[in-house]
Amino acid sequence: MYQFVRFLIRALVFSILAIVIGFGGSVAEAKFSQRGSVEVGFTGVPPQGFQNVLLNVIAVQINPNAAAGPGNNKWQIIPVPTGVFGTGGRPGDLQIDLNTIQSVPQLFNTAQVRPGDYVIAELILDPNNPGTLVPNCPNAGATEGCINYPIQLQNAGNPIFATISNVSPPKNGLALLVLQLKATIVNAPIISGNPYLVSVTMTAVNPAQTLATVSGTVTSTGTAFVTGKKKKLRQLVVTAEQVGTNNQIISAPVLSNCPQDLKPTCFTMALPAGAQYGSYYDLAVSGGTAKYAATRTAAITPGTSTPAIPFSTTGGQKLGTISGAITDLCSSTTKLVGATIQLLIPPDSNPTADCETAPGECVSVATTNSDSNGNFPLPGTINAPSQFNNIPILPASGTYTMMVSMPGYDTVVLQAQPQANKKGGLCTINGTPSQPCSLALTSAIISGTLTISTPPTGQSTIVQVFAEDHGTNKIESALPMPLVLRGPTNNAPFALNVPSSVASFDLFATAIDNYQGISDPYQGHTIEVASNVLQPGPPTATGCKTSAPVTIGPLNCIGHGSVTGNVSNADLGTSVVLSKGGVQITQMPVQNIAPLTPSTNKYAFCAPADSYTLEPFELKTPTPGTVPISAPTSVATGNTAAVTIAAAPTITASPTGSPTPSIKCPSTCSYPDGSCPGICNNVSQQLQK
Amino acid sequence: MMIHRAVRQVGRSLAAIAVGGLLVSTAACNNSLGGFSGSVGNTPNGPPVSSYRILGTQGEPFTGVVSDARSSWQISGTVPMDVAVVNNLLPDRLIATKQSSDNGILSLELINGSRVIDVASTTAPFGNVSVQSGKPKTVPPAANPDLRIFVSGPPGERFFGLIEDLSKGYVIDDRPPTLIMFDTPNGTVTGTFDQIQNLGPFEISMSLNGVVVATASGAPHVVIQEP
Repeated sequence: MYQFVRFLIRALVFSILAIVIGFGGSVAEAKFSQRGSVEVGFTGVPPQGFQNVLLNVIAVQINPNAAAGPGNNKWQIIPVPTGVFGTGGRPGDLQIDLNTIQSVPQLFNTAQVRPGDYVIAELILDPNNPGTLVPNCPNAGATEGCINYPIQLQNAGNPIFATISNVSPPKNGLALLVLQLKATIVNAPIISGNPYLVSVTMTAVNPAQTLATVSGTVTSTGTAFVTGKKKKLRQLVVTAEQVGTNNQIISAPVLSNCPQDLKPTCFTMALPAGAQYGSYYDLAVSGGTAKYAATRTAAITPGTSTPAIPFSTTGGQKLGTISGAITDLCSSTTKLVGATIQLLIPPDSNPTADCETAPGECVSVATTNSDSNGNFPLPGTINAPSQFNNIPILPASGTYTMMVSMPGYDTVVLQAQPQANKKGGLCTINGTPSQPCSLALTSAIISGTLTISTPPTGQSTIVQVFAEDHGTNKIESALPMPLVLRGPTNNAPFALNVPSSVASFDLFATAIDNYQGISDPYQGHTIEVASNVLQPGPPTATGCKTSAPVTIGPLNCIGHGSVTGNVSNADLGTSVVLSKGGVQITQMPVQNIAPLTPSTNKYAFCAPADSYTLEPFELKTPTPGTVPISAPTSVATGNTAAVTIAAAPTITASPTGSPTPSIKCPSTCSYPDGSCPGICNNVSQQLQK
Repeated sequence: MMIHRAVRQVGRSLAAIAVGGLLVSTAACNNSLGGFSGSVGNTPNGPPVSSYRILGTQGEPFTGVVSDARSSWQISGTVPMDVAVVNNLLPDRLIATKQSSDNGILSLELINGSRVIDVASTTAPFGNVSVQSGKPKTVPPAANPDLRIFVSGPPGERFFGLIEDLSKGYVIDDRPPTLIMFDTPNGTVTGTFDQIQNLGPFEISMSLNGVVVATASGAPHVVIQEP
C-alpha cells in the first residue's frame, strides 16, 4: 500500500512538473525586476480605395541579433494584451484597421523584455486569417464593393521583418517602438469575395513623430505605499484614459527604482498624440494600498515630454468593497447585464469639481460591470482583484461619487462608501444613506412597428433599431436583441428602452445582411429613420411609460453604395457625419491628415444606395497648456452637402453575361421577383470644413 | 540486492513518468481553446464543437444571436466571454451588437475544434459585428429545448468540461466565463467540470428554457445534472 502511494505521488509530481514546464512557460518571466519594458504601437499606410484594411495581429517579437532565425532563444515576444484581447492569458487576434491609424498610432501592448539592444522586429499575423479588405464601390468594375475580401499574403509563411534602432530598454526602463505597416495590393480578384493578394511590409518609424512621453512621480504624504505585485492587491499603476471616459489606453506601473531626474516613486508611459494638434488624456493613480489620485492633461503633442506630473497620495489605506446588483425598475425581475459602475474623483487640475452634479469634470479611478446576473463587481483573480474589491476606505466615513450607467436607462450618480467585508458597500439612494448598493434603473419605452420589403420565403432579414438624442449622433440604446424577420413576414413589433431624462429621440433602423451567404460588413437594405420621437415620460408608481406607436420603414432591398471624397483644410479634429432625413446615422474622422505627405484629407462611407446629407464636424483646436474642464465635443460646421448614391443595376436570378457575370442572386438581398442588386456604385463629393 | 533495489527504483520512476505523461496527455489532448468531441465515458465522438471568443475592451457589454443550422440562441454579457455550442450542426454564426456608445473594441473569434475560422471586430458606438462558418441562409428558430450551462469563476482559470446527453459526449477546454449551449440534446444533460488551475471555486448554473434548473459550485471537480 505504501509503495502504491509513493508511486502515485511520483506520478503526480511528474505530471505537475510537466504541466509547469509545458503549459506554464513563464517561470523565467516572473523575474520582472530584472527586465525592461517595450511599448509597441502601429501606424498604417493602406492602399487607396478601401473602406477598411484590416490586419489580424497576433504578436510582435524583437531580437538583438539581426540574423536570428525562428528558433533563436533571444526572441522577446510582445503579444496581444492578455485579459483584454485574450482571456486569462490566451492570446487572441487584435484586428487593426490601417485606415484609422495613418495619423495617430494605435498602441498594441507593453511587454517585459530582457534589457538589451534590439535590432530586428518581426510581425506575426494570424496564419489562417491574416486580414480582410473592404473596398469602396467601384465606379466601373466587375467586383462588388463594401463586402469582405480575405487577404492572401504574398510570400505567405515568410516572416515580415523590420530593422529597428534605439530600442534598448534598460532594467526597469521603457523603450518605444512604433512600426509602420504598409499594405500593397499585388493582385485583385476578378470574382467578388475571392482573396486579394497583398504584400505587407513593416518599417520602424521615429516614435517622436506620433507619441508623447508622459512621466511623473507618485509620493506619499503618510505611510509608504506598496509597489510591485502582491497577492490579493492590485498593482499600483498610473492609467491613461480617453479624456472624460473610463476607456483605458495604457497603464504604467509605479516603480521604486527610477531614473535620476525622477525621484522614487515614478512612472513613465508614451501616449498617442496627434501631430501639431495634440491629444487630451485623464490620468488615474490606483492600486496598492494608496488613496486614489487623478489629473487631466493639457493637450500633449508628439515628440515632447510633458513636465513631470507630481501625484501626491497616502499609502497604508484599509481596502474595502462596494458590491450590489443592478436591476430594471420597470421589471424588477430583469437583471441588467453589462451596466457600467465607476468611481469618480475630482482631478488635481480641477480639485473643486463636484462629481455628483458634473460627473464629466471628474476622472474615473475604478470601473467594473454587472455580470450575467446583474451583480457587480465582476470577479478578479488573486493577483489582480477587481478594482471594486480594492477600494481605499476613506477616513471619517468619507464617501466616493459612484456613477452607474447602462444604455437605454437613466444614469445614476450617488455617494458610496466601501466596507471591509467581501460583499459590502453602502450607498445613499434617493437621499437615504447607508443602503445596500443595489439599484433599480429607470427608463421609458419607445414601441413601434418596423417593416421591410418582403424577404423571399425561406430567407430571413435581421434588423437592429437604434435611438439617439434628437439632433445629435449620441446613441442612447439599441434593441437588446435584433429583430429577425423570416419571409414572407415583412413586419415586426419592437420595444426600445430609452432614458426617461432625454426630451426626444431620433430612431434609425439598419439591416444586418449577408452577401451571398457570407457576413456582410455593410447593409444592402436602406436605412430608415423616425425623427423627433417624443419621450413618453418618466416612470410612475404604476410602472414605466410607453410611447405612442412609431412606424419605421420599409427597409427596402437596394444594394450597397459608397460615397468618398476629401474635406478641404481638415485637421485631426475634423470628422464627417452622414445623415438621412435629418437623422444622423454615422460619423467618421477624416483620414490621412497633414503633416503626412501627401495628405489627402479623405473620408469614405459605405452606405446603401440612397440620398443623404454630409456635413463636416469639428473639435475645437486645443489651446496649448490649457486643461479642458470636460471632454471636448465636436460641433457641426454648417457646410452641408446633399449626395445621392445611384442604385446598383438589377440582375436576374440566374447569372447574366453582362455586366455582372459572377453574381448570383441573392446578392446582399433579393427583390420580390427574385432579382437582386448587382455591382454597387460610388459617388464622389468634396466637402468644405 | 543493491542493484536489484536500484533497478526497482528506476523501474518505478519510469512507470511513474509514464503514468504522469498519460495524465498530462489526457489533460492536454484538447489543449486549445474551444472543444473537441472526445471519446469519453461511454458516449461516442461527435463533430468538433464550435466556440466563440468574445473579446476586446474588458467589460464591454454586448448582445447577440448565436445560431447553427438547427437552432438559434439569444445571448448577452460583457467582454470577455466564451460561448460554445455542443452537438452543433454547421453552418454556425454569431451576430453581436456592442451595447455601448464608447470606442471600445468588440472582437469576435469563431473557433472550430482548435482552428480560428473567422475574426471580426468593431469599435463603432453600438457597432454590429458577425462571424460565421459556412453560409447560413436564414436564422433558425429559437432552440427548443434551450439548455444552457454557464460557468463562472476567476477569469483565466482553465478547466476541462465533459458535456454529455444520453448518446454523445463533448470535451470542452476553456476558461470562465463560458456559456455552453447544447443543441437538441437527447435526454437529460450532465456536465462534469475539472479545474486545471485552481484560482478559486466555480459557480455553475444550468438553465432550461430560461429557468435555472440546477446550480453547483466548488472546486476542483464539479458535476451539474439536469433534473
